[in-house]
Amino acid sequence: MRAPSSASAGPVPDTAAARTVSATKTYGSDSTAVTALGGVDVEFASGRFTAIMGPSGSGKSTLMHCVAGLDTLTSGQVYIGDVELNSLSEKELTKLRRDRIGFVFQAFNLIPTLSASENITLPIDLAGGDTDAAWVDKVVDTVGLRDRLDHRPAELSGGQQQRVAVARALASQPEIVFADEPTGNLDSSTSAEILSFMSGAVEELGQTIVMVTHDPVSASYAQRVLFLADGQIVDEMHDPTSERVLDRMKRFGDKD
Amino acid sequence: MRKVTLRSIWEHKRRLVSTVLAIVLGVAFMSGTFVFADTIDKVFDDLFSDVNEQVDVQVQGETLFDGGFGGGDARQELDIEIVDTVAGVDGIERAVPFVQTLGFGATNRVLGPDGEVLGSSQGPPTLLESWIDDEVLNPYNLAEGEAPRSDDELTLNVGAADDAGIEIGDTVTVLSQFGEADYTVVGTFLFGEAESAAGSVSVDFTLAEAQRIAGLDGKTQVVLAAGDGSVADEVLSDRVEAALPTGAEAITGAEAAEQTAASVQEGFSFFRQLLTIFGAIALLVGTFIISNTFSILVAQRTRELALLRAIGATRRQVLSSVMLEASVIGVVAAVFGLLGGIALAIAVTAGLSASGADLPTSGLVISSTTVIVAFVIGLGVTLLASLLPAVQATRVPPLAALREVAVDRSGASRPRIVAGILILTLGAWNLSAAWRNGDSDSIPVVGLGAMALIVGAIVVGPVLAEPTVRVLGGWIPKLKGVTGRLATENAARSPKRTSATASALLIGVALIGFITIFGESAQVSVANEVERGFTGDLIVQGDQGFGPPAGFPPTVADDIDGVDGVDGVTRVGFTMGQLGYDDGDTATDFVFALDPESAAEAFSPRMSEGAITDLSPGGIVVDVGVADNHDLVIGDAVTITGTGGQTQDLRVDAISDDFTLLGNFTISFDTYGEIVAEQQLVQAIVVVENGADIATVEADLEAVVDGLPSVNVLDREEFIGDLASQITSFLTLVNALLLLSIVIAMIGIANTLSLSIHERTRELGLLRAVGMSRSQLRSAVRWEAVIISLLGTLVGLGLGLLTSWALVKSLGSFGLSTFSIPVGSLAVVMVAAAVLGVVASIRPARRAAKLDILDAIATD
Repeated sequence: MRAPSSASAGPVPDTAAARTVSATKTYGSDSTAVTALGGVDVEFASGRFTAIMGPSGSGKSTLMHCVAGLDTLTSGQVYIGDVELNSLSEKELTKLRRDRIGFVFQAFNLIPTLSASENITLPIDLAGGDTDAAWVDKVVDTVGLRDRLDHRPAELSGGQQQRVAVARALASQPEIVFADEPTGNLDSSTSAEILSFMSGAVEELGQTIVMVTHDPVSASYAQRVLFLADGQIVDEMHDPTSERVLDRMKRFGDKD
Repeated sequence: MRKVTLRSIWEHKRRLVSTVLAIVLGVAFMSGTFVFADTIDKVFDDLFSDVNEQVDVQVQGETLFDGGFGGGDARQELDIEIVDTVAGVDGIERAVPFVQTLGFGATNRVLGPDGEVLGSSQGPPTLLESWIDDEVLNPYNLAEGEAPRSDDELTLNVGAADDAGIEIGDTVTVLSQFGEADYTVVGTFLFGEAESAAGSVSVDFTLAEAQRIAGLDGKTQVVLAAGDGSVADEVLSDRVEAALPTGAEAITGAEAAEQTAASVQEGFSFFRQLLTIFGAIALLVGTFIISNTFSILVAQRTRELALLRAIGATRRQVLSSVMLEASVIGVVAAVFGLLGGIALAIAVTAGLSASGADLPTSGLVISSTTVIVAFVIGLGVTLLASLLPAVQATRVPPLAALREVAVDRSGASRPRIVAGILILTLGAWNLSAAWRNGDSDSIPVVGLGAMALIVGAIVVGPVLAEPTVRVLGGWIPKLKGVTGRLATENAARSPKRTSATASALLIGVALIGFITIFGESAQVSVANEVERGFTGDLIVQGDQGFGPPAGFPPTVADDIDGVDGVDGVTRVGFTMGQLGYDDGDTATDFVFALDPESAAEAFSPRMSEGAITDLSPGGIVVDVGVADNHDLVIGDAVTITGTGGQTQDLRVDAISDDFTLLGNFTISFDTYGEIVAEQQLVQAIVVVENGADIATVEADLEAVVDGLPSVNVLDREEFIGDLASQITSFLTLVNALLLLSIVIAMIGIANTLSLSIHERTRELGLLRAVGMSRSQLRSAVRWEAVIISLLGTLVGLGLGLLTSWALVKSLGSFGLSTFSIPVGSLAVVMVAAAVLGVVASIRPARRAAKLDILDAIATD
């Protein structure tokens, strides 16, 4: 496997784009309660590409959903920049997601009735704000979708759809982008293309990205990997390679 | 398989409710009509067979013609000597004459001691009758006092006396064709055991006085007879029949009871027909909604159905699964519809009672026919509507279980386009008959064309829905940004679904549009015609409503003539009459009577040939339409039979071309007096002297008619407004009932939206995740509903416009000279549709906004 050049260590910035303080999430009532997050303290540094890994049920998706303001904690705090999410109303949360956060999901990323360009500017249009045309142009060119802008999602390949999704996540210049298995449905060469582009966005545009994945190769594109198991952060790896990540993951299997 | 189906229904109880509602309303109207009709029938059958129990044979004049308006037939009058003839028949023990005059409006009414009129003006009539001096044959039982012995005495029914606080010994005033006369109340009576006959005011006089009031001196209308019990009624009736002179007929008492009951029941047939028509419309609209709902359900269950097919369910099993679901819905709809129908029947009966038609209260009649009809309709319509979706379901291939569910975006299949264009062309051609022929004979063809246009619009709907929605919704993104854009796209994404939803609305709106535009045209036309041809200053007239106009005694016109400042009075008399032509045809129609000299001052009607002043005693003025149909020219002979029974030969004096002012037939007052037993004026048109103040004269006239029920004094403006308001009040009633179909269509829109939102769960979750606020999401759903509403409304109004235009063109000869579009009313309809669309979207929008984002975007 090719180790991405972007994985080389850069200076760790001292500001956190997002962080949690003893983030706890339980489901169900007392007797049958299931702990998804057991008091997680984590920081996502600004301008960095962080991957969250862990086996199924480790709580990695829950962590991402809570940090991204899609879900609420049972106890503890989540901060995006200086804003504590628990104190926000539903309306303020929506506004926060729209203006300060970008999303890339595994599938169903695009609105089928809107064209590629409409999908890209969707969060900006929802905010009713003016599009920073130069920036959007730059994003569109970087993802290489210029000739596909008027197409509907159904007329795009899976890889193209994910590139549109990434472009949308970047178009509003959010403080942080959350990606949930963004290449889960793609073949390996298309995946590599998308991941390179994401790491490029971090390197060249200074974007902050947090990605949930269970694929060691995907994780190797990140600058830092957090390992989650049973709702706790159990390990952390800087400048990962896929081999090292795979080795670490295997140890979860051993433990079970 | 059955378990799967029933489980699936139970899981979606709420959806079931909204689906069922559409059919429930239709079934309720249908079964309500049945229950109401059966109840009314039983009430009057019981009533009249009780009352006629002692009558074995009834002798009456032969039918002259059907009087229309549920008033029964106009019959030949009988000479009073016929009573002796009947009494002399072997087996007859007793025979008595009976005379009855119907009163409504300002004729043949009774005023209490305080001057207030007895009974209501719109409700059951007042009956002025001869008291039957025979204990056996008299249907009434004296409650207090005694029978009328002299011509200035009367008795009346207990109900009417109690209502007006009349006591024995009081003086009451009776208003007949001979003006006012006072009588002393000498007794009160019961009708069987009831205090009134269906709320009527029954007043009984001596035979001589009843004859005088009815204009039947020395005559009678019927003879009631009882046998000595030696032979059966049928035999007796045949014997009497054999003894009768020509022009009279004998029937048994039972037949007479049936005949009377039937003529009263006929009076309620208007309600029955109205309810049935609206029930049918509701069901038609409901069919679209059920069909659409099932289509969407089948589409959403594609995976489930495919899985069933993959594990071995046959097509037949899939078909019967969907049909079973439909059957359950149909049965539920029938049960609730039947209950709703019973409630409706109770409400209608109560409503009629409240408006004065005091219906005898015996229990509701729920016949087995009613129950069967409710189930056949409820189940039948639901099964029919779900048949197509069910067949669709069988076409789901087992492999679909493994694929993503694709929304059906198709709309424009070739057969659909071809069929749609064919039907639309046929409709347009038929409708164009209105312009090509332009007379009332083309109305059936035009009606067919209108129906074909609606069907055609529904057939091509899916083809045109997408482009139309894009045009209709084009402005919304400018207003609402990406939210509006999403709303438009969502409305356009499934043309079949959008089109079917809009079609349900289209039907109701097309009918409302048609009625409203046609009504406006009729109003404007009438106003124009009257403005042009009516030259009177003031008009005294009885209330106009459904049925024959309410008249007033001719004596009132004499009083009017005596008022200061009145230059001349034109009396307008009215009767139903039967016309006979040389070609053998006959027709029953309104006939108006005028005095030609004074008429020329009040009218300047448009004439085809001759002038209104050409009308002479023994002459008639006929409308040009009638003249054309029967090849009549001035000088030709026409026969007329009035309610009095005499047939007269008349000469055509002039041919008019002014249906609004003159109707079809106008005769002179001389002829009028000869063909009717009882004279009634419908209008007295007043020309004011030069220099006299119209307002002062109007006030004086009002003083003259004060105390006469249902008679009003109007100036020109009020008269025109009154004509217009008669049209409006009828149209308002019809439109109110049509609103029901709109409500059903709105339920359909809500249903479709709910199902669509369910289908788009993921998409909505994504929108929420990337920052769409709840209110933006609600707004998107709302605008989608508005677009669908506008689509149905615009197409519906377009069809209503074309159809009413065609009808106005066809009715030119009936005074419909102007086609007028009530822009304001139509704008109200448009706005109302948009508002109702918003209302329909409230629940689906709320559900969409409440969606849990995590559930929606979860990958597995």
